[in-house]
Amino acid sequence: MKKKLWLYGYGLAACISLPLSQQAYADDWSGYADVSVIAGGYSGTTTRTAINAYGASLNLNYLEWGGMKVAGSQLTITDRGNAIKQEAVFASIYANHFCDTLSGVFKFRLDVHQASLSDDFTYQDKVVAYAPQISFLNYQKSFYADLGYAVSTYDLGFEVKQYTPTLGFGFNQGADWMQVRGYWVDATHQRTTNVQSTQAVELKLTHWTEPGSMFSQYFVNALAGERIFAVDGDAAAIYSLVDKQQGGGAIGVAWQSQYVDGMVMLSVDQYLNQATNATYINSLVYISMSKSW
Amino acid sequence: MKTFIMASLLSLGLANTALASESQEVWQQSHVLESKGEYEKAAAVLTPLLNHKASEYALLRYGWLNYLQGNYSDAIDSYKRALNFNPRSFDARLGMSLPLMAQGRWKEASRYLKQVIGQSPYQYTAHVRLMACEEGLRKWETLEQHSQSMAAYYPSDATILVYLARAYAWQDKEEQAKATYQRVLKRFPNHIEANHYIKGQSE
Repeated sequence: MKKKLWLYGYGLAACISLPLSQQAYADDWSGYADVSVIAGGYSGTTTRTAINAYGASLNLNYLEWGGMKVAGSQLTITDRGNAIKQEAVFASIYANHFCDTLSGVFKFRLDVHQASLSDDFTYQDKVVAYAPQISFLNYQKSFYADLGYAVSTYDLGFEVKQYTPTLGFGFNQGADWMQVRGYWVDATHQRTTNVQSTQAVELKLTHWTEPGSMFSQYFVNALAGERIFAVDGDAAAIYSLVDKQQGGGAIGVAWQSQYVDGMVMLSVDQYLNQATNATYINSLVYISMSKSW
Repeated sequence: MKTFIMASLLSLGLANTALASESQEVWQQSHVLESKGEYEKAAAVLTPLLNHKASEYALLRYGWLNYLQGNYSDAIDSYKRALNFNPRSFDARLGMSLPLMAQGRWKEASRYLKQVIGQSPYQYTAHVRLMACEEGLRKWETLEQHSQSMAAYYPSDATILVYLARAYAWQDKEEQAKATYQRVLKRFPNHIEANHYIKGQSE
């Protein structure tokens, strides 16, 4: 009898406790999907005429523990009437560690980029990049720091190492954000043992608007210095062309709606064609639409 | 034999009384230290009780005192241990939501709060904290529906109305936001946020 009662009691407790522990797990996963297009042109060069790209990404997060992102894109540059193509895939995973001693969150992240390059003739190359990053964001979301590293290996004989220390600050009661990222890139040609090192600093300013504004966010980005074969984790992009970026800037807005969120960015960058030693300007418009859940 | 049993029972009883008295002293000490703001010491005196058989309350209190110290991960661990003791505990779930929210873990806090609401659909504290999570996640539409529905059950409550007004404001529903902030002012005439919003609208 006693055993029966115990079993009954256990069964009752299980009936009550099971729904408690199984409820709401559907909300444990969140994420977003986005699609993007890029269209642009060139000035100061007689060979390149247009750049177009499109891409899509899927981001999944489990509670605030960690998450993953996969993305794919195709980019086409029209050069002397020929198409130079880059097909790229990107995968990223991260895990968070909450640290009360420093009152913030450490994020451990690993990105993998793979891109295949080809033109209408014989040119073919392939690059694989691994980019680990450790970042810290305080609970108040007013201070951010990260240290990123990337190593890219090109089939044609280049190995590129990139170091990206970053600092970010929130101010104006969280309505503004300033982020500075240094790029130190070492490109080694394995066959000639030539080392080409470039340094650049990227500044990003973001302003979040108050309720009632048309746009939820305005931002300005600027790059000073030189950058080559860069790996950009924020944009999930790898810059695999041999031309050297010599500064640039971008402005953009983002908005949120009941159905989809969006972003438009205009950018202008200067590049150096290392074969002809001539500079040219690349102007782009970038549009992305995303849906989160 | 009879004498031995009697003696054993007596000594067991005395030991239990001594333990109980010691335990009472520990609780009193812990509460006094908390009232003085000495949270670390208030938690430290409870440490011997944490592995005791009936330590559920000690774990809840240890979690709370660690939360007050800003040791959010330790607080979460303590509440999880209390939840293992008693899987039906609302206290452990509500307690756990505080350090999770302090760490910005809105989704994880929401999970525990929804578990409470699943069993007790109109539990006020769980609902208000869930609204704070929805705000943290910037889920304005969800917050609007949630706070609107709860305002019907707690019509005199200003906190729920503030969340409703914020949800309207962030969705550019200015008239509804203004009307809701005016309802807040009826309950709290000096409410800074409500006054600020209404003043901004009339300029």
